[in-house]
Amino acid sequence: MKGEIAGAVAAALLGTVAVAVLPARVGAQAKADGSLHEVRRALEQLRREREQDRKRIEQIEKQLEAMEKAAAETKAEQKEAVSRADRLLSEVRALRPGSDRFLVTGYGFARYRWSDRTDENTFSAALNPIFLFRPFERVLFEAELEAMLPEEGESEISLEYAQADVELADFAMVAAGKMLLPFGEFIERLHPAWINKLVSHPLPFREPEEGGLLPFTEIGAQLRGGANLGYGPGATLEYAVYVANGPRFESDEVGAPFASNNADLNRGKGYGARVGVQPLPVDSGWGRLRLGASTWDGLWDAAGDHWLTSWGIDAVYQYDIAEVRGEYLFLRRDMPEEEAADRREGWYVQGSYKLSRIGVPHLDRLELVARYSGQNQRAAEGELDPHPRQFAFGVDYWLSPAVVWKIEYDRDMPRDATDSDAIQTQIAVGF
Amino acid sequence: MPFRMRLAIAALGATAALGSWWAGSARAGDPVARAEKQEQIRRGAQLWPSVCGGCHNARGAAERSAAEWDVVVQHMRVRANLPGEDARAILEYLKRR
Repeated sequence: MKGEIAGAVAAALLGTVAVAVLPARVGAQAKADGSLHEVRRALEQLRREREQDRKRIEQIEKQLEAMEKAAAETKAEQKEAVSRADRLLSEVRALRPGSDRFLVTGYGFARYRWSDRTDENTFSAALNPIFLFRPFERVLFEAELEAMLPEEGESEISLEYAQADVELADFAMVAAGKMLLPFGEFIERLHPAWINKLVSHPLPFREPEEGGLLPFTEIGAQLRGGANLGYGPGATLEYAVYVANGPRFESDEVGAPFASNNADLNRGKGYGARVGVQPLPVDSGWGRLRLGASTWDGLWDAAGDHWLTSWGIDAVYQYDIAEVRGEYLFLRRDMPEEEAADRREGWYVQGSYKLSRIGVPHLDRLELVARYSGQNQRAAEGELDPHPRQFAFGVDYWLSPAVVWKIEYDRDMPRDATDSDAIQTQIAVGF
Repeated sequence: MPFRMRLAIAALGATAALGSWWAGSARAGDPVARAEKQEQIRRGAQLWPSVCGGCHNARGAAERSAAEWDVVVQHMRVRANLPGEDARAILEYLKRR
């Protein structure tokens, strides 16, 4: 009986527990099923959203690709347009006056000069057209005329130089004819009025009849050229060697000026050479330096017995907007009848500075120039002084790279005469 | 087909192939030629202010036509003893500027 009671109690207990626990379990199960469903729905939602994002990214990628393609096409079109514009520009330039065979260039100037020493107070002008004719790629004929106003009369035209140039190689050219004397730098490269920074020439490089020490031209043939030194752009070696009619003087007197030697007065010839070096490449950042040495020698008298020998050195250093240059030359002319040699020497040093960085309109077009020059010789012809010295100060106003208005003050201080002043102004045009 | 005709066709084909190869080579060489030209112009741009400015103010490229620069640069090459390579570089720069 006890056993039955115990079994009944146990069954009741079990039933109670089952009644108490089972609904809770069933509820929990249902809750869990609901959460799972929620999670699944969320997951599904996420998948849908991911798919939508993927499609959107694909769409954006396609748009980007189309845009890149369009940009590339635009770039190509722009490049083509620039190229076409360049071609048109070249064609337009080619249509401008001038051809690849003949060209007129040159320079001219108008000048006013007041000089205490020479008692001058006058205007003057000159025109120097340079004719360039290039019949073939390697051949050039060049000639310069000088049309000047003489003291009296209408005008005076002379042949400054006329030479044929033939290119033999990258480092060698032959030039023949009436040529500028390859002695130093001033004669060949600096004397044109639009290049010379002062109105006047340095004393030793005046025209011979004005007291200068060298003729500006010789008649002969030369081999000249330049070569790169190989360690940077612009580092070069240059040379000129020549044979010509040689020197000739106005008279046998000591101090006589040079005369033209168009038809050689003797059977001897004149010989000369110049060597120059530019050791600093243009990208060195140290500026530009040019050094040169020249010589010119020849028999000067009709009998061909007496020599003129000469040599000179020249240098220029340029750094940015500043420049210093100078030349020295020495001549010795053997005289007949055991007379002492006719020795002559001359020099100049010139400095210039551009005010282009000053940042003030008009003032930034100015260039200041100062030069000291002098020469010594045993005697000079006429009223010329054998020992002239000169300080020259100038202000240049550059209207364009080849058009300049110069104002110059000179203080002449000859060794054997009193000091004097000169003022001159010049408008020079290179064309 | 006669032998001569076949030979002629073969020769024509070989010529066409060679021409095509040559043209292809020339086209392939274009970028190199362009690069060399660009380098020459760059060198000219470096030399122009210093070399021309060594004696006078460097003149602007627009002052003259390409044909005129041909003559002027040759004139200046003589006057300044410019190496041929430098003169050509300056000329290219002035023409393309």
